[in-house]
Amino acid sequence: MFDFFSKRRQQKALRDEDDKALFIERYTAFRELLKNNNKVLMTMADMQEKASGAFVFDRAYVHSSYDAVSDGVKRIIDNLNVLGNEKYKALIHPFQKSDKAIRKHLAAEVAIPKTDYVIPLKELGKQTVASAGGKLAYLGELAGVLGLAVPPGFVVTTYAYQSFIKHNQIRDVLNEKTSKVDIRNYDELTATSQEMQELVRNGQIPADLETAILDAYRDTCERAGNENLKISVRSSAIHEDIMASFAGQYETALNTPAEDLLTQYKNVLASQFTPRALFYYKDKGFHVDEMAMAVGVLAMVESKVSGIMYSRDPGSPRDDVILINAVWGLGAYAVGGVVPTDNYRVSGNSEPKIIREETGRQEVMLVGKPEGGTHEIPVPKEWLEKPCLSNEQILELASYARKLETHFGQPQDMEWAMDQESRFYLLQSRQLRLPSAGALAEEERSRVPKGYKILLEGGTIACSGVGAGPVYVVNREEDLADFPEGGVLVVRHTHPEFAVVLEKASAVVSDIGTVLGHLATVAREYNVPAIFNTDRATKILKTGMQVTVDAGYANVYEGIVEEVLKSTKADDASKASPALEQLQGVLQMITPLNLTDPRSPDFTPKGCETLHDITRFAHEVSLQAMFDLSKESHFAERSTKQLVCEVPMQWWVIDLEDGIKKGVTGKKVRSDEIVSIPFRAIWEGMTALPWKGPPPVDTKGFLSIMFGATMDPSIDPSVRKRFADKNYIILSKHFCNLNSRLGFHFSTTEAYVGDNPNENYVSFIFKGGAADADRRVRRVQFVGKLVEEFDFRIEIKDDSLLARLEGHDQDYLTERLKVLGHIIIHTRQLDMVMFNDSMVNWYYQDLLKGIESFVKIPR
Amino acid sequence: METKKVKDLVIPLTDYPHMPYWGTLREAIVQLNVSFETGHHTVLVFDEAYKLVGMLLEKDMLQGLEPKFAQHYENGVPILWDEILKSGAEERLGRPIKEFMSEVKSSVDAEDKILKASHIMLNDNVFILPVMEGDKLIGVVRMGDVLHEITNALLEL
Repeated sequence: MFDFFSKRRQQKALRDEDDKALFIERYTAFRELLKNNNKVLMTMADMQEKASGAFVFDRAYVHSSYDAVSDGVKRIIDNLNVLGNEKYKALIHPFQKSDKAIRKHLAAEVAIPKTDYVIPLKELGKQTVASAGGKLAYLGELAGVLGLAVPPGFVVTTYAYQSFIKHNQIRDVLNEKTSKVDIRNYDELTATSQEMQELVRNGQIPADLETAILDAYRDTCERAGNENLKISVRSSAIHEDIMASFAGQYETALNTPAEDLLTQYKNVLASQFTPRALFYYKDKGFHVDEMAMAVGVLAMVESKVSGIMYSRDPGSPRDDVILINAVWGLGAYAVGGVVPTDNYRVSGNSEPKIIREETGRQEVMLVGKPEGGTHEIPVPKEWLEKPCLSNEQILELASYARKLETHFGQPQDMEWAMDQESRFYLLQSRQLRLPSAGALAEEERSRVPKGYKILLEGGTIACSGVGAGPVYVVNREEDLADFPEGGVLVVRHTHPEFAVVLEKASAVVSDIGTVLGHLATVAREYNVPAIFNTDRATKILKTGMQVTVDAGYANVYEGIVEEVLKSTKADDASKASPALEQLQGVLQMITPLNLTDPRSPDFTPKGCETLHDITRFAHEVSLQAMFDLSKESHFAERSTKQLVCEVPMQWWVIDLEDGIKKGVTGKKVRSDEIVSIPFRAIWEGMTALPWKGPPPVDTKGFLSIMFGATMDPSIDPSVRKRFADKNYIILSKHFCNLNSRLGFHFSTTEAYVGDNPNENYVSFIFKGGAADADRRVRRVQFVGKLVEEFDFRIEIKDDSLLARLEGHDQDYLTERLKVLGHIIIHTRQLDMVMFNDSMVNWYYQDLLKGIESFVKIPR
Repeated sequence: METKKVKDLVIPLTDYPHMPYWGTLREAIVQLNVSFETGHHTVLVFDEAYKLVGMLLEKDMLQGLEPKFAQHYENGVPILWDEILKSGAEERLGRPIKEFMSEVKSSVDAEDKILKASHIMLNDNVFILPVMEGDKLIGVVRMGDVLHEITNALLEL
């Protein structure tokens, strides 16, 4: 007896239940889902843009972007389960699977192999990069595999570096400083760099490492037959030279005496943290543990002449041309662009032709001092007017270039030196960066556009392309701090230090400089158009002037010359940094979309393979779930207000939050008291033109059409109970779900219209009618055609229409909601009149005319 | 020979122009215009519950178009049609057909003989009759078709 009553009571309680609180909870989840969906897609888009290679970013970017994606997708799943009453729990499986795989990919790092502290040069090869760093590993390859002349020496390995860091317990502090420093803030970068370098320079070399280095030095002395051998101490970082061009970012100590060896070793280690190296490292996205530095110790070549050689001309890489430049004395002056160089072009292999460009202007040169170190002295008088190299010497060098290019299968950028006995040594060989195909295709543009003033003409093109912006003259390193975004860097010399601003620069112009120098290499890497050797750029171009740099024809124009800028912007396909590779790898695991068709049987949680699939699935079913939620919810009388309106239909309003003006109490609400943005737009469309519909109750008719089986199922009595008589409008400030049902006609309009276009959407379902199938189909096609005219995407199945719009701003959507409002009112019962296609056309034109009288949509 | 039943002559509902009763005279004219060549000259008028509430006959339409002043004259008033279109036509064209339509007084069952249909037509002075199947409207039967069927039967005797 008791049970029976209790059950009865329960049932009664259920019937009286108000779903409003539940509805709000699920609606909130729905909003969160849309928000996160939007965030995830934006992040993915940003990552893809970066992955095109046209931008610079670091690994921290890849990590934090992925964290954002992962977190967003997780939230999407959680919220979908709130909205869909835990129906989509299975989505967590594909998510966890993807997430695990991607995190594994992200964690992959370069491991430093455990080796001896020192390894002799001749035992090195390209397989030893992780131990010996790029520069020394490749130099070892030249000596060991190719048998070319290189100075004797050895490498102090990355493992030794690791031991040094461990011994001094500075790993964590270095890591922390590196990850925290803001490399765009020049002052901060400089200060952090100072602190880090101090840490390294003040470090203590472990005793066994010290012994190993000094033993190796004595071995080298023995081999060179000079017990007082001067050496060069060179950086050889893992990625230096082989991947990103760390051109000139690290320290090299020339002509070092034995007693300075250990100090210079630490100096080179510390140079990993110079501002420009730190900038480069972070900008290119290397991992902290990849900063391991190997150091090469090579017998010093007492150069009479030294220089650089390219196995290809970056200006015309398809031609068989070798470029060589040469200076008297040590090569540092050739690389740094400090003095004018002798330039030689060797073209053709079997019958080589040498084109000489001897400047004869080199007045000073760099040489080693007997006691160690280097200094600048005047070029001896008898050399002044002489070329640095003879034809035979040029050809000998050219033969090395060919050999190396063949061996490595890629154009090479080499450093060489010739000692007092005229013996050649190769000091370095690395991949030569060439401008991309796009930049090379720079062609038929007329050379000088009419009506523009040429400020500078001539010079050497270091990186072709076109750029424009305000001139910024840099004299000293300190000037770099204020370099403007998009500025044209104008310098006297092409110091490698200036590379830190290339990422921001739109072009570079220098008085003096060489296309084979570091700055040129970095310019090409960032694809910054560069003209060097203009001789007087710093005299003519003043900070603040707007100029256009045409590094296709070596011209600088006054002002912004659109004709020149229009020529194809090149994107550098050859760019590859660890961060870029990692990003591309991660994207391959995130972005492929397998779930394209919501109607496919695979459109299930199980069918989701990537995170993109999950977002796609969740978004689709969330819209559906929201729709169903509105349909299935039951609202008690106390939650609703009747809308007082001119339209002779009955509407009940459920306010989720902020949809109705504050202070409106009672059981009724007027349309002007509703502030919901989408509602107001729909309502405006509904009431803009007078409605010629029937009074609500008018049952004079006595002969009823009952098309039986073809009748819309929506008049099934059980469904009808909830919505047949009452039309609900569920709304909030930015949301509106409006059901409209009259007789056999049914439509639902749902919209979210907020400030963020990517979260906005409108969906519209229209179905039913009581006429015969042909007429109903004609009507639904007619409505479909109408909304399509206003940019909706439509889907028609039998007599029902689904129209959607996603991702537009408020003005765009409100105008289209007005269209829907008009259609909701003026197309009901129109199935009756759809006698044939002529009628369809007539009504189409008639409604279009009506809509255009109050809606502003350009078509 | 047995005379045919109404169901043999019925024109299915779907073949006939329909309109809701609040549709305008203008819409009705368009309906009849596009259906003219099908030989149907009547619009069936329904309410929102798809119940038949009337029929718009040709005479109803002419009546709707006729200017007010003409209605006070006997036969033979020289009505100028182009004037109809000028003076106040917009207003009349926008009026709901409910105001002009003929009421449905009677119907015939699909199983009835056509002679019964003929009888009802004469009795109620209508040219077209709704045809019912039980309590469901399935179409209409027209006086012309009824007459044609009867004359055919007579000639064969």
